Amino acid sequence: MKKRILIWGTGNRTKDVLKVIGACEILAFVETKPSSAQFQGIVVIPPEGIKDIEFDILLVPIVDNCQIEKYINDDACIKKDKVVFLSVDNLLETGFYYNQYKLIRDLIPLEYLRQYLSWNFEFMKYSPQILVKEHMDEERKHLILYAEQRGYLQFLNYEFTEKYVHCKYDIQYDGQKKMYYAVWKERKFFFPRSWKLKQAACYWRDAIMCYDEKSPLATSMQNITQGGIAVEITQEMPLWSINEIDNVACVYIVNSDKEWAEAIKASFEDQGKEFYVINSLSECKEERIDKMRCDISENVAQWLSTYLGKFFILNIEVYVYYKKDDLKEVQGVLESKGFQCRESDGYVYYPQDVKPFEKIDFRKGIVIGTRQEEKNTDMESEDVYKNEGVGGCQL
Amino acid sequence: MYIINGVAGVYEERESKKYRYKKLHNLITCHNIGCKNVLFVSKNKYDMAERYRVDHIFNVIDLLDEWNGFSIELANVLSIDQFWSYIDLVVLERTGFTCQLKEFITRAHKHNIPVIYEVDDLVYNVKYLDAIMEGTGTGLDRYDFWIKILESQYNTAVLCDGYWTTNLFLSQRLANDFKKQSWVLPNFANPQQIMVSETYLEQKLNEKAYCDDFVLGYFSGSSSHNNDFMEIAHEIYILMRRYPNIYLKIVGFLDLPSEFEIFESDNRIIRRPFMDCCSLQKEIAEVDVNLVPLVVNEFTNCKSEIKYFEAALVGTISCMSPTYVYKNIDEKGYLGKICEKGKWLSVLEDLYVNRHNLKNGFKQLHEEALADYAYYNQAENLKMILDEMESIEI
Repeated sequence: MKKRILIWGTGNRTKDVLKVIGACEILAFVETKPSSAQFQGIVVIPPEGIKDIEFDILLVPIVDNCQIEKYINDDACIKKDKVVFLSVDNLLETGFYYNQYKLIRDLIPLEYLRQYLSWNFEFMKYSPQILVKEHMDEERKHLILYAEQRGYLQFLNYEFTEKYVHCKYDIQYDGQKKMYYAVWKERKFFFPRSWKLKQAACYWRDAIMCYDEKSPLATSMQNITQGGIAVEITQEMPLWSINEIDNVACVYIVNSDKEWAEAIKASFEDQGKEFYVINSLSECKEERIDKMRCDISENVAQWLSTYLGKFFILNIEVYVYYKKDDLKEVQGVLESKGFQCRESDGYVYYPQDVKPFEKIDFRKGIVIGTRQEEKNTDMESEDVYKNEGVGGCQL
Repeated sequence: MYIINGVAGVYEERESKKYRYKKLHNLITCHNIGCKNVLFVSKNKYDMAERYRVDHIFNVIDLLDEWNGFSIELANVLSIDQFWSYIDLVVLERTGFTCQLKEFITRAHKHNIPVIYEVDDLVYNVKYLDAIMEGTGTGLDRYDFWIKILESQYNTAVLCDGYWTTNLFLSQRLANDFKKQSWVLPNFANPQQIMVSETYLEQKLNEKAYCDDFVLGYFSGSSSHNNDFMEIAHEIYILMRRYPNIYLKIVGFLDLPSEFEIFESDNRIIRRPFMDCCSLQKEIAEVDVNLVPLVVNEFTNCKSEIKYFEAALVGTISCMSPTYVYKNIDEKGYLGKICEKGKWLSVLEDLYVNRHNLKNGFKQLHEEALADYAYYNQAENLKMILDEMESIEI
């Protein structure tokens, strides 16, 4: 059904609006001092007449006139959730609150709105109102409720995050290593040498928040096996590996970022365990891996297809929130390799790859794959990757 | 001219780093470790002025221990209400007046937070309309358009507690017009511009990149610069008639006079579309001389030195009209040519005749540009400015 709209004003700005609005039914124009009974063949009414008309949207193409805005805000008869302030000649500058998105998205044709939304969408993506609530389970509805109370969505929308947001982080500087570090569970975690204190503090907040026991990204692998080999693939701080270090005999960390590699080595050198920081998983000399955690943001399913056949992996956790199809694709690859899969509890919110007008939903954080202790018959020959070289660092 | 191989993907990488919104919590975390927060409000994140005056400034803020930066678009200003107690300073980046903005400024003042109006053009007061019309070459049909913009900007500016701009000439006008303090931070190059420029300069220093055609470059911001080029058009015409291996490269918008049709048909006019800042560096690197003609008046005296340092970074010499900032560059003894009106032909001809010597100045141009216009050389100045702004009495 076409939206029934009222438009405030009959001047040039209204004419501009009329050029861009598409399928709708204009019921009337509103003028404080109407100079004629009709405008473009449609009745012109005074503001007092608004209350007598059933409408879906009151479009106000005037955004720098505080008197009109005040009139609308003060008039109890005008439902505020039906009012859209809009300036077409200056869409970028003013008047379009993200909470009006749903009202207006059916009103203005895509070619105009898409252009506008591409500019403003980054902010709108963090408004709880952008989520379509139909077909959501109770947990996701609860997450929205929590985000609405707070006013915005974030990566983790759980009450437990509050304590991390308001925490004062004790980040120390190691004068000898010339790096900032944080202490967690009595262990030091170093940050890249070029990082400032503020950068380290903000990063650390997010990192340990993700490892809270209530987090959708908290590990489920602790204590499932003792000893053996662990591999973590990450471009950042390998918190998972250090968390696991008491349960394994040897750790490989795949991290190709030079600054992070230096910080990782500094973090691990006091742990008294055998560890390697390598550029690529093909540098790992093991055949069997007991636990693996993969944090790969691009083409993760393709990556898994390439590497799963080269090692015998018993337990694997894979981040699947970066792209909306990652969950399905990763599960498919893991199951094809004999893993039994399940999703981690809870949800994260990660709308980075979403385009305007696409549906936005929460996502699962991790897919966990486990399989039985037996030799993988699919395992490929070492010849496949022996030429890639081994550049690990054992300290 | 020089044949330069472009560096791909740099601009996109910069774009992906723009998603600062999701880190609202950084305001709290930074506040808790004693770091101050400055909130930038801009029209939209893809505005050209926003790039130089917000994005690039963030590159410098990243280098500061004492300050953290956060940016938000004008349309969303009222949505940060719960974070006031973590904000120390607000900067409005050339934002026109809206009711929401007025309310936003009121709320900032209630929390005792100074609000600074940032502008890098003389576009905030109707009294400068004539200079703007002359400087931009705008016709009478655009009077209403400009008046609306100037009134809107003025209505915002007058509510603010201090002013921030790119050169002393404009800064003095702001301070006089509003009787409040004003600060200067020049426009400067960001890490990506510097990185690609160094790659291009290296290629230019290699003989293989050189070919003997002589290319003049005109890198236009918008169609409002038509008047600027007209200042020198006839002299360029004479020069190109005189030397058949002189070409004119135009990046962006420019309507050439009809006398240039002869060069168009000879393929001596090279046109390129408006482009991102990193691709632009490649185009500038390829030309022999960067043309920066301006109608010299109060409006253009307020312009910044972007065109000079973008060219100098890639070792390209600039010929510039004697506006306030370009005269300063000349007075500092930096490499470049100041051309008074009517003197362009002789200066350009001299550069053409001695074109094989231009290479000797590549490194000097690059180093002078870095000294004054590299982002990492702005940190001390920016910290001082932010500290002073934060401490002003409202």
